[in-house]
Amino acid sequence: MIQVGLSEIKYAESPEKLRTMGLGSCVGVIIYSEAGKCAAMAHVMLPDSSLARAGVLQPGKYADTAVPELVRLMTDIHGFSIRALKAKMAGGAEMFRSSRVLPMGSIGLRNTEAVRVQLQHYRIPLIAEETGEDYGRTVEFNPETGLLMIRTIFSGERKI
Amino acid sequence: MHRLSDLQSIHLDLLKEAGNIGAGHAATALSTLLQKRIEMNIPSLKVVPLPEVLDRDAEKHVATSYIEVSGGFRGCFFMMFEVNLANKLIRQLVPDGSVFDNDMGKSAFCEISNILCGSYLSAISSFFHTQLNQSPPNYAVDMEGAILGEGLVELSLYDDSILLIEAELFDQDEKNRFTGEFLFIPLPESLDLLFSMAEGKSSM
Repeated sequence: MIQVGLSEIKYAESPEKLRTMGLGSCVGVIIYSEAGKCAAMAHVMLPDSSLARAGVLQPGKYADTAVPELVRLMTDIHGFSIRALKAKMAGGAEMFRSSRVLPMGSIGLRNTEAVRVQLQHYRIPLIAEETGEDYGRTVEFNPETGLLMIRTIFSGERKI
Repeated sequence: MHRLSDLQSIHLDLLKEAGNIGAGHAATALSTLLQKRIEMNIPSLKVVPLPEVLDRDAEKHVATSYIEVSGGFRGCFFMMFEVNLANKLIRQLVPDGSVFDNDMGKSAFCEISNILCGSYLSAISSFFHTQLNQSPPNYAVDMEGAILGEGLVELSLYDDSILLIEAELFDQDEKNRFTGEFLFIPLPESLDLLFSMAEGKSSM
């Protein structure tokens, strides 16, 4: 099992799997090749790299840098055709329900929207997603089957 | 503005001492509330790269109160309790209350976190001779990782690491199991205060 930490990007080939734990407002986005049984996953924290207040950029941290990096990893580095790539995502919840006015609005919603915009830009079809709501998710992607397993505390497990 | 990479051992020692005093006060307040002894480890202070933050047990089921701190230091304060202990705490104030009761249970938990965070911060503010304010608590019950991840969003704009001042609490009856923790995570821009204090000290 390959662990993807906050703001990281990792690549795996079957039979390896990719896992990221405890997604709240963060989004786990996976770009994969079904035929090649390979995948790359990012743990995105924020929608836009223009929000950054300091240098040293981890591309996985922002949606607008994570998706291009995932695409580069799958195409330039591992040689898949961009037309063969598909995507799935999960996360983007809002953990704090209290009437808190976040300085940035609902960050979960903005994260999922930003990922969607990036995927459309590269014309990568979003095959499945489970986003929003107010609970945490742990996700595991199996490149062998192309299925994304989602685990939660209050509503069990499912595969998308 | 100072960055986390500028921190030297004198700064870390100051912060660690502050964290120690703050967490000690809060643990005492908690013991008083529960009328039982709560053990606390010596707080640790670490600069943690973001990818490693959730290496901890990210799926641990916790009740959390998240408070924003402003004034001489800016940052955030998390009070996390394992759900069983959180329920015990709540029942000190509301018999039959629980973390899942969004009305009384939640207000009781938030009130407790107000008191504990208040005693933590007032100890830190007198240590650094600075004024600190706390926001009303934000409440969530779920996976620790998911809650922390959302709380760290603003901090992650400044750096690829966070400065984590962490004190773990143990309930003697629960035998060495995690029961709760206080996390204080100052924003890097708050470090200026720390640097001026360290300079004041070293010139003495």
